[in-house]
Amino acid sequence: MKAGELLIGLGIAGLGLFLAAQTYALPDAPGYAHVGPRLFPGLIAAGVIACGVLLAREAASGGFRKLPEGERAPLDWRGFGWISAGALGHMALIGSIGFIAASSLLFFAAARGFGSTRPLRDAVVAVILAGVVFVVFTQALGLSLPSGLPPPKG
Amino acid sequence: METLNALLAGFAVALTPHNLLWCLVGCTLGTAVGVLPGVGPALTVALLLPATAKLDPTGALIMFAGIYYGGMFGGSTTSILLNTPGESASIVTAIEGNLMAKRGRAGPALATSAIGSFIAGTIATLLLTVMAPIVVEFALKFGPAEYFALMVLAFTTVSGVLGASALRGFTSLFLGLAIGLVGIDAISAQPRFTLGVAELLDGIDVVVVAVGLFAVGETLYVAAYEPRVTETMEKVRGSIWMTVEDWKRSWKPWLRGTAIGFPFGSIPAGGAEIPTFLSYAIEKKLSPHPEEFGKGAIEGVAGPEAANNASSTGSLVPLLTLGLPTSATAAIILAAFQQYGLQPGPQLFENSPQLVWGLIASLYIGNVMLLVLNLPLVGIWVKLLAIPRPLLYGGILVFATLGAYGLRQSWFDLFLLYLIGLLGFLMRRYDFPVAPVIVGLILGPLSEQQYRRALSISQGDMTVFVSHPISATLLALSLVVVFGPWVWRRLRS
Repeated sequence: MKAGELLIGLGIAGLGLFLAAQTYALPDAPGYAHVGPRLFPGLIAAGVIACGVLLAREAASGGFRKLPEGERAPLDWRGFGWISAGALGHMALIGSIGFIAASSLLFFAAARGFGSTRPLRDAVVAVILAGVVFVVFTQALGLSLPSGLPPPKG
Repeated sequence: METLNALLAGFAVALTPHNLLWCLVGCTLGTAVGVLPGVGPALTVALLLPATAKLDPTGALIMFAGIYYGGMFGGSTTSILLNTPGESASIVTAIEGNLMAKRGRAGPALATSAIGSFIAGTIATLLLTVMAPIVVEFALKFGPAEYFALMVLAFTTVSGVLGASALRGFTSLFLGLAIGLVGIDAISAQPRFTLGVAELLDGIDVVVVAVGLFAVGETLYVAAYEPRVTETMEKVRGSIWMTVEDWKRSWKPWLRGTAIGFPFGSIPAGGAEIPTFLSYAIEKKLSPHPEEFGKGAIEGVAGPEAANNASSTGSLVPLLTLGLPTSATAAIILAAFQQYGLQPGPQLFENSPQLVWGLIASLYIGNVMLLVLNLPLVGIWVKLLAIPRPLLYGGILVFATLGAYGLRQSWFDLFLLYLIGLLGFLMRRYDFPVAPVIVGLILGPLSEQQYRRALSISQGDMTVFVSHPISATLLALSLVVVFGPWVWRRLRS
């Protein structure tokens, strides 16, 4: 019995049930097409449920089949946490502080997550990279990104 | 003759200074990003998709083709020097090429891989030129039922053939199909699975899914499980040129690899992994030095690399003529077409011959550019390999978020990106393949349209899928792919 794998299987089956319920709630208007917008989602929901159940059965009877061999190091929550904090912080801040500042923070947080011991170097590289990317993508490639500067008055 | 004229017209498009420049930019960017450890061709094209968003369609697709090819060339360099294959199709190169590098033969390994890729890519592009009009002719006979059956076959091969477990492959496929359902239904214009969120009405963009799974998921995984692993990079010592002996031992594997790779790429058979392993096995059998295999045999690099490149060019045949992607990378390229409202297929050859043939012509040009970029200039790319990991992954995340945010400047896409990153983390942890998610996401909505069109024409008669001989054959093949291995095991025991 593998708890994590069982959870994955049950989670997928649960997702399938959710899809099925949502599908059922869709108004079906076959009209011309003879098949409305419900049939395909219904089939997919059934497929997701079937996969989830089969995975749960594998998990309950010895675990997922043919996983790669070899020991895995224990999960390092520090690394995982830094990356997550960086990504979510970037999401929350980019609208207000702009692309360059938000991306630099993300870069800096990711470097911490990989155990960098040179914060000054990381910060300098972060700002240069974000600045260059900002200029290239907005000036040469025509993408619009928030600069983080207050909009010009007038 | 007609094909030759079309191709010449294509060269006229591709050789304009404007398009040559985009081709060069694409090849350079593709090589630079593809060379980064852990970044395979699929992630390379996904990361750089937003960079092409504001160009004209022809220029953008030419640049994109350069990115695709460049990503493949760059990936081989990483496999040889670092032994970290960016995708399953370069596993063989990583093994044998890295062993050559360890014995001080990194130069010839890089050379045979680059020249082999060039030769395979050029021959395969030639075959693409000849085959495409023939397949288009054939595809004009296809109705919605045939297209639907073809897509079902692509689903089953992408999910069932590759990877350790068909069950995990199909789970990935269904997850991709489910993500593809989100948004407004193309036929009835009804919103589905949007949970009342306005941002979801347009559906979930393939860039967000591909970058989330490949870049954010991978970064989370590496940070959580291998934050301090350091790879040893082999140095390129001595000449990068091949000796006469190396040439003698390489040219046949190049040609055989091309012959194996192209057909595998052009049918929906699950991508480039199988032909590379097949090529490796054949070279090992035919080599006069079988004892060198497993210690760094040049044939073991030359053959599989050629097979890999020929196969990825081959996959452009179904992509351009039928609109059918057979790998994650091809699915993302299909998304690039959709970005311009273009749907690859027979109609595209009729309506936009300039674009299609310009694209094919630029493949010939791109191959030459890449040979120059990757052989004499290999030293530049090697420097990229030495980037410390904290900076490398920081940079990958900056580009990943740029791609997602650049779509429509919405924080919601960044939220989705992180959620899909978590999904990618779990998939990596429990060994679920990623390619079926991407293919399901792109092909799901298209297959639903074909399915409903077919039933609309047949007035709701379900037998339409089995009464047409072509679609019946394709569906029967899909059944064999799904249940064949299981029946085979039953019969043997």
